[in-house]
Amino acid sequence: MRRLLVAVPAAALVLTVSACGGAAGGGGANAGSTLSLATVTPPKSFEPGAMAMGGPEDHYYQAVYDTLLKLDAYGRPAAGLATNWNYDAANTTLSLTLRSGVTFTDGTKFDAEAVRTNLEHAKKGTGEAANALKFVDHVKAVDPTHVDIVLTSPDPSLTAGLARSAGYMDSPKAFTRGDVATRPVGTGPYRLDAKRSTAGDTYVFTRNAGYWDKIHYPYKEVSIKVLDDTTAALNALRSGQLQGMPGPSKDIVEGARKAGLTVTTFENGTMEGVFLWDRKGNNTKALGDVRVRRAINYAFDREAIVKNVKGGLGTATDQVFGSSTPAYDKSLEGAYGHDLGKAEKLMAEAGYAQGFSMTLPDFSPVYPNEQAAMTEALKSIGIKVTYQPITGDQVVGSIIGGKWPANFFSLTSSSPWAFIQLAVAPGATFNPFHVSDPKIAALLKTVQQSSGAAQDKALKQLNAYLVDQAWFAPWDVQKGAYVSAKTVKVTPIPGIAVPPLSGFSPAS
Amino acid sequence: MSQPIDIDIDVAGGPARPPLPGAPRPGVLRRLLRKPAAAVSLAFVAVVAVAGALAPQLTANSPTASEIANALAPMGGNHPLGTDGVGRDVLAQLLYGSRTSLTGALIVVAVSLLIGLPAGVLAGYHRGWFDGLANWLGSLVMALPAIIVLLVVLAQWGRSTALAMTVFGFLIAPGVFRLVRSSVIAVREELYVDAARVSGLGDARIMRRHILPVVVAPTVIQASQLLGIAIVIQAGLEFLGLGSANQASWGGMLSNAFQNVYFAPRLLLWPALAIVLTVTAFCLIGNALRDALGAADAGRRARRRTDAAAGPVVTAAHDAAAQDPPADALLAVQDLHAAYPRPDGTESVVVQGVSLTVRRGEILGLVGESGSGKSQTAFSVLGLLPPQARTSATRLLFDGQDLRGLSPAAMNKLRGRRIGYIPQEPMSNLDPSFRIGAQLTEPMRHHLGLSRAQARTEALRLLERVGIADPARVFASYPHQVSGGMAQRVLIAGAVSCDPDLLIADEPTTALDVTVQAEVLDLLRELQAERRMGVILVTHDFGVVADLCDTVAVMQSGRIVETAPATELFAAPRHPYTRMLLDATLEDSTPRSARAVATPAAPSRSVLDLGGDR
Amino acid sequence: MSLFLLRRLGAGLVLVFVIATATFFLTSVTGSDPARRIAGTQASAAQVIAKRHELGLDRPVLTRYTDWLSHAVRGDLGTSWFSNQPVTGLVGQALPVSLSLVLAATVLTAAVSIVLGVVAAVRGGWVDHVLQSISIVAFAVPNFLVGMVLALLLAVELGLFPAVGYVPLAGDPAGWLASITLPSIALAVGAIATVASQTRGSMIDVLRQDYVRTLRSRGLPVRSVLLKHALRNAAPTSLTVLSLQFIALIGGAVVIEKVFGLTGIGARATSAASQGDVPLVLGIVVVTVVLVVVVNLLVDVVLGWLNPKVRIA
Repeated sequence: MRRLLVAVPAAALVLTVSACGGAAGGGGANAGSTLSLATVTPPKSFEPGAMAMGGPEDHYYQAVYDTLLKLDAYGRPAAGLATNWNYDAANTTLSLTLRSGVTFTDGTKFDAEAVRTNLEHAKKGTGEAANALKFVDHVKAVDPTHVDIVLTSPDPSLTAGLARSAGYMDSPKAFTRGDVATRPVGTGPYRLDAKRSTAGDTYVFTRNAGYWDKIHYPYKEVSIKVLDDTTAALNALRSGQLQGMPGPSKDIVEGARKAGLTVTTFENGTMEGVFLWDRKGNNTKALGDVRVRRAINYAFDREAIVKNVKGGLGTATDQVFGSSTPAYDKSLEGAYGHDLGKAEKLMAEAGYAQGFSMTLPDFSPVYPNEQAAMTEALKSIGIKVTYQPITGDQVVGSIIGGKWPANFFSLTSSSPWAFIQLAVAPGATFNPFHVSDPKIAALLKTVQQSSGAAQDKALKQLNAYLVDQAWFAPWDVQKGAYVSAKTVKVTPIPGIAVPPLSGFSPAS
Repeated sequence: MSQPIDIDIDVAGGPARPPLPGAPRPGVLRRLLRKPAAAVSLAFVAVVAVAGALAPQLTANSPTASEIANALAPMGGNHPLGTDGVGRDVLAQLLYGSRTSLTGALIVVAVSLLIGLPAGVLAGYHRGWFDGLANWLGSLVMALPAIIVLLVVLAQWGRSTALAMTVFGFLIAPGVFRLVRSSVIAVREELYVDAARVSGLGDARIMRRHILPVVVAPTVIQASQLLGIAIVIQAGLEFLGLGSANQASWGGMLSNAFQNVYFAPRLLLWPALAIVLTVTAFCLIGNALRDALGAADAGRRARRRTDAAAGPVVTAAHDAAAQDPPADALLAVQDLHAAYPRPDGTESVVVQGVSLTVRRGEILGLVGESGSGKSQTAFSVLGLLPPQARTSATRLLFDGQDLRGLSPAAMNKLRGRRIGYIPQEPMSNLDPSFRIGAQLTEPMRHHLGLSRAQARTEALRLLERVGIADPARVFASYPHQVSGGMAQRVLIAGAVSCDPDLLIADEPTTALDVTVQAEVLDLLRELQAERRMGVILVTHDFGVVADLCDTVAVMQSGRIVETAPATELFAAPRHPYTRMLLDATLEDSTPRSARAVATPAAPSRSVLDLGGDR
Repeated sequence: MSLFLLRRLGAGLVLVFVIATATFFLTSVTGSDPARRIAGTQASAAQVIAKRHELGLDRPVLTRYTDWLSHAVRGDLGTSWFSNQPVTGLVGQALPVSLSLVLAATVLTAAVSIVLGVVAAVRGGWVDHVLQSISIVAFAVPNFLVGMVLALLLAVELGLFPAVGYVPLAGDPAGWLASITLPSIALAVGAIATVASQTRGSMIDVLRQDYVRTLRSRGLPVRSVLLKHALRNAAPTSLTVLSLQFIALIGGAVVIEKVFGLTGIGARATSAASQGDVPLVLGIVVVTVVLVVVVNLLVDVVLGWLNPKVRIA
């Protein structure tokens, strides 16, 4: 009730403080001993094979699990629990040499059998790992430190997968206990302190005393707090309660900068834009016409979108594959420069001079800026969009179920083959209308069967064809951003969404 | 916004009435507009409503269309209030948002009143199975965690502000229902409704005269609050991301601004102002409406009192009183004035120049029609007029002590201890929440310093003395457990409990049954004789005067027009007003007054005589 | 009285049952496919079917309902579909957070609004005007705005309180108090405005009653007339409003918990409802309704105790 008296000066103060950037909050006290981070969502499950796609959640798993391979500073596979790896000539058997002397936190030895158990389990699961292990036929424990992964056909993205969720190693005993989803028993740098953790709220990890790679994990303790409200998270960072949080949008990043926090940006390998699902015109006839899809591509002013919508957190592109991938072709850039004249001409040729209308899912609660930009651009070439409200739990299901002709979307494309399996192949999850094209089918086959330069060439051809046929209307490859307090130093890895735990260290 | 509220706000004198009377009368709106806060609030809400309705005319910009390249544009030019983070026009959002907010608020109020009001009145008045059912359904809905219901419902049917507000209206209806029902039950249990029912008033009249007036005020206040709550809740839902997305709304703007508070804090200003001002306006309107409804009655009563001009003051007795009081005077009042300020700055004078004297052992009858100022005179002496009342007197002596300018604490030492008071309505003058015993012993323990046990013994003795057959039972009873006559005896016991020198009885028998009246009058006379108290007996009943009084003062329009010994007055009334009063009494009834003059007072017989009176 | 309470208790149990049933069917006829979402975007059709089977979603709704009910009456509210944790555990962890918040806000509301309501009613004049004006504005400001200003000012700038998070009472009472201070103030502000204005109104009504004048005519001290007699008679109205506010506070907590990053019932409910985590939604609804039933029962007891007409009858 006395609040009014406080509120007015307080509001004034807020305005002043945030306007002049303010000083960083205190809270250097726990630097060096405890690393406190925020994520948006709690871990769905600690069970290897049940985890969703990589993202901020990775921090939970990286704390307790090692992966068979790791990613180096450039995002390339490097030694992890496996110290050496190589394919046979046919690219259908991957042989791993395992690190010896590593034990799980329940005392079980890490060996070839453990690898076999984990990979077989993950393949049967429903998470990202199952998709990554799609081509695995069986796993053979050659001896305690050697494993052969035998494939049904070559899988160019398998090693990348083993450095991510497909490579997490849980104790074989854990799978038989029944509480594997909530009680991880890994070989990782920390163990979950269940007593001090609250499901869905805070997860406390304490140092795994016998860890083999301590040097990359300088903190004695890691605490991860679930905060779905970004302002609350920024408050916590400024007050010194937390030291890091993902910065997924322009608003947060600019807010964080104004709040005097450090923002680290990096290529995170995710492509975003309007995914034109209905390439056959089942739902919205117009989209079946390649001229309309090209017109839509011409309608977007990608540079302006990156600048205004993304606040610079992205690199404008006309193709789905990022510049660090072999599929990338620089000559394709500029294929669809912002050109309303061309767009209108194409629309007229296709018989849509008056435009048309379509119903898209309403993503404005999550992507207000992106949706606004999309609406504006589509309107500029006469496409009228009606938005249908949709709840969070229906988003993915309705996309996969073919409810929408198109929508704004983002998908990781740092591994071209994985992206193709996810969004291009006829049976791919994100090819909801199961559009197939003989030329694409042929190119897919070539990519899978070949390697080296031949594979790269096929990927480039595929990329060019996707651009020509306007299967997508890409805007940009995202720049990831991570917000941190001055007390920590953050080293990101390109191609993944969030800097790994090993990339955090106390700022000197 | 409201008149000053202080203890004893009620302008004394009338019978106990429901505290917030009056269904809306035509004058309410006029009274409302006279209050600046209410007028400004109504105007503000009207402006907001018009702005929403005429939004397309007031701005060419669309509230949802964004110009990405023109994000965070400053104020001015094509965007008078600038643009937000995605280049949407802030003014357009604000204007169209008022549509969303007001419509949502109206939906909530309409749905909840439509359900809660009729259900509450029916359930509270008729009770029975409907009450049971409605109550159960109400608690069913009320036990629902509203926000979770909204979450589930919106997850089911998609985000929509109108849907959310409709559902919220349903969820909040039991609140209206409960408030209405409990107000109705409270009134229904009050004695006056019982009395109304016994006296044969139909349900419809009871509903209109007694129930609805009590329901209207709280409902109006609640409805105005609901309008406000609805807007605030809407903002909360928007904050959780549950509002319609294709619709501009203040909550949505605020939520966006909130998420970007570090980035663009200035965006907070407009939606926050819009929400806070509109909700405030609704509250102010509700409060003003309540005051207008409540003040209406007091205003009328005050005006009534000052209507007619007084006739000439002719009595010699009055002139006599102007001289020094007799040495044995217990109470001497000279030239007493009492007035209340009117809202327009003038004063409403209720007592003008009253002078009277009461000797020890004398019973002074203060007679006059309702509103003649008798009770006001009595309360002036007791110092129990409302604080806004202005009183003056050239003399106000009690047992030689000047009561003028006495501190409240000093006055409290006299009240109850040396000046006793007997009110008119027995039931409404006992605190319903405390046992009779507690109410009797508290003053004795306070004034006389008795222990709990001593006070109890004394109270039981008093109860027995005032003719209560089972003192112990009454001592342990709550007021609602005893009859009206018994309650009046309790109040008399309370008035004399500290053995006062002066007793002021304000129409002590008016509210009682005829048979009980006589007994109570007898009791008063006995007690007076026993303790040699001076008594001011306020009454409009010449029968009572004839039975008890030594001296009579007749009041008209705030003045004493005639003072005379009782026998003299009845034999030869001098003032035309006195004659008129006497004539009216004679016409109305058996000529008891006349007989009373001739044959004063055998108690046992007066009981019989009273048979056909009134 | 005890019979009355027994009946209310019975009615409360029926209430819990009816609401749980309604919620079950409302959430179970949802058009979305939880198995698909739980299985993850990359799951194949076969995996989704397997997940559906694992969750028992391929059984008829009625079977699922009786199954859920038979477990629920034994205190087993099932397992969250999304976090794989037992629902009782998840709710059990969240309950202390929300209860701390709501109870602290209720106590704060009761204390502050009785003082303010009585002062406004008795003092009148400018004091009343000022208090009323403040309470109207307090009522009009959305609580998340209050929370945000408090957080920015007292937590971020001055560092007097934590900006986010909850500290359990058991281990660290001082930390607990600090962690719920700002949220419960933010939560209470609107409730204080409402209850204070109701208390003021009922005090004024009571002070207009004849018996108050009669009590004063007995020469009793003002303190006794006001605080003993008038307040006692005004109490039922205030208590009823307060009990309504308590339920409203549970709702308000949903928003406040988000602002202060507290994982209470509200935060759990928000995420469970948006994910379509039916077992968790059901569990939260059941627990919240039980809470409301208990509070209403307590209020009934106190109201009965305050009203001699009920108590004696």
